[in-house]
Amino acid sequence: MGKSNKLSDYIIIGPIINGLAWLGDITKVTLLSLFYIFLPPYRPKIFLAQLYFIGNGSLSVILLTGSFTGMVLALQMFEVLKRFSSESMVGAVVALSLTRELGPVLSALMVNARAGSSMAAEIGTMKVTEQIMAIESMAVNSYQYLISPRIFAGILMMPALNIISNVVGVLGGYFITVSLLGLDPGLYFNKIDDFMEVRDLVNSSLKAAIFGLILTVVGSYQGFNTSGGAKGVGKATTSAVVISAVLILAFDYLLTSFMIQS
Amino acid sequence: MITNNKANSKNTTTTPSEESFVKFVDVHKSFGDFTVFDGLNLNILKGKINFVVGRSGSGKSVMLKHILGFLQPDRGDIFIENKNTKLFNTKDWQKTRKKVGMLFQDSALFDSMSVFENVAFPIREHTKKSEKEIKELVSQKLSLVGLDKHHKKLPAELSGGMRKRVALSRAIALNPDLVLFDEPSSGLDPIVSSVVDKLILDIHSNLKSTFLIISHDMKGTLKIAHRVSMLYDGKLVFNGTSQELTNTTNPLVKQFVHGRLDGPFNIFY
Ligand SMILES: Nc1ncnc2c1ncn2[C@@H]1O[C@H](COP(=O)(O)OP(=O)(O)OP(=O)(O)O)[C@@H](O)[C@H]1O
Ligand SMILES: [Mg+2]
Repeated sequence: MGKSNKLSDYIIIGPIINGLAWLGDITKVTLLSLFYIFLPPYRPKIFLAQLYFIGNGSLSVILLTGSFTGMVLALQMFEVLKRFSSESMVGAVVALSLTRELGPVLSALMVNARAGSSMAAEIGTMKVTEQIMAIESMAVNSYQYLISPRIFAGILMMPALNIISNVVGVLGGYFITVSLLGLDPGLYFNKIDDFMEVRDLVNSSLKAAIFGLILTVVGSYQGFNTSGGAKGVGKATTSAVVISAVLILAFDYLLTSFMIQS
Repeated sequence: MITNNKANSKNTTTTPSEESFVKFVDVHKSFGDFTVFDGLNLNILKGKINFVVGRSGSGKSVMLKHILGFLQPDRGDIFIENKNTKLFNTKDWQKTRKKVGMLFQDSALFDSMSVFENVAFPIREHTKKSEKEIKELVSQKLSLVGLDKHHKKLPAELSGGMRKRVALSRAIALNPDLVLFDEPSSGLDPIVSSVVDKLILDIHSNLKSTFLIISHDMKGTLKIAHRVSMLYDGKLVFNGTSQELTNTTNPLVKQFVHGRLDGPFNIFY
């Protein structure tokens, strides 16, 4: 240890340098893989399989988290708003919180846990069994073959899942406030109509698309950089989920601050 | 460099007319403190069946990975068709790889794809053949190795030897100019092993491609090799015909060929 003169071996500086190197490399891989989406050869079959994997596979999880989130939001907000005698606003509050924040963030975290992790495990296994080398040995670009269809599918499918999550969330809130708490049914949707703008939906979809990019890129990238057998695959999977989750929350803050200002 | 080549050609029957497909010139390669190549000079002759033998861990698989550009030498040069790979960009490597078919030591089949799709992969990627033509071609390649009835199976449902044979079909699917086989007959029963030997001879006489085969099977090697090279301690210690290998007086090579325990090899390396 003492003999090494590499900066990355020192405490504090080391992790920072390694982190920056990671960031630089994953940015490069992301840009390349985005670029390769538009270059031939196109592989629609692989892309559709990924769309199906992310979309269909995550649907049940999204329906569950979306509806429970909407329900619990409605329950909490109804109680709070009642103190100000403005419980009629509950529909608007639920809808806005869901589309602006909870919908994209929670669905991205759920899809990350499901699809991001399994991408890391699948690609990681391909790495350690030399399947990626085999792809390259047949003069096929492995980024284009493995990463591009995944991120493209993630960018397109996340907004769709997000919309579904928001819709069932709003419906869940409706069920709680109208059926259980006795709010006038017309009021719930009227207030949503009054307060929600097209911009909220656009921004929500934009967030979801960016989260879709993050979780697919990080899952694929950690898979690509797997080394050391089954243990390495496990490590890649865990790190992919954790890193994506942190990045999703950090980007959520960044994006929100831009969106609120403009 | 020149003196090196002369020294090599002294104990071989290489004539100037024998062109090399791949040429290692004074290649050095280490992983950390561990040296794999310590000045390796090696010629893979064009249109010939070249065998490379050597102890487990002597760097044979590492050598193949250098030829495909997955590893770069620390020092020295590798020439492919007389072009220095040091000057290769991504495009050049792609061009080279299209001409090469590689059988990986652990098969490296795509485990999410069926046997059929594995062999069809390079054909789909690099030709514009119709589905019918692909089917014919894949069937033909698979029947060469006796696996015509296993199209739909997944690699996980095959035995190790069967996987190896599928990987072999995939490696030759596009009739490559250079065939790299990393232990094609290890894990195969003696009969299939002879089938693979015969297959190599057949493909070779049909395509006139260059073969570079890594093998531990000395019997098969002596039977079909045009040229055998042996790696030891990061260097080339033998290079000659099978005949010369059988008659060698080099104690190191002799011990290896006969698998004896007594001799200059450090058996507990
Ligand atoms: N990526 C790598 N990183 C570090 N060391 C490596 C790497 N690849 C190979 N080695 C080391 O290089 C040496 C040669 O490995 P190689 O796989 O080429 O052996 P081999 O001659 O093919 O053996 P075998 O006949 O058992 O397949 C081994 O000691 C191995 O540990
Ligand atoms: Mg090997």
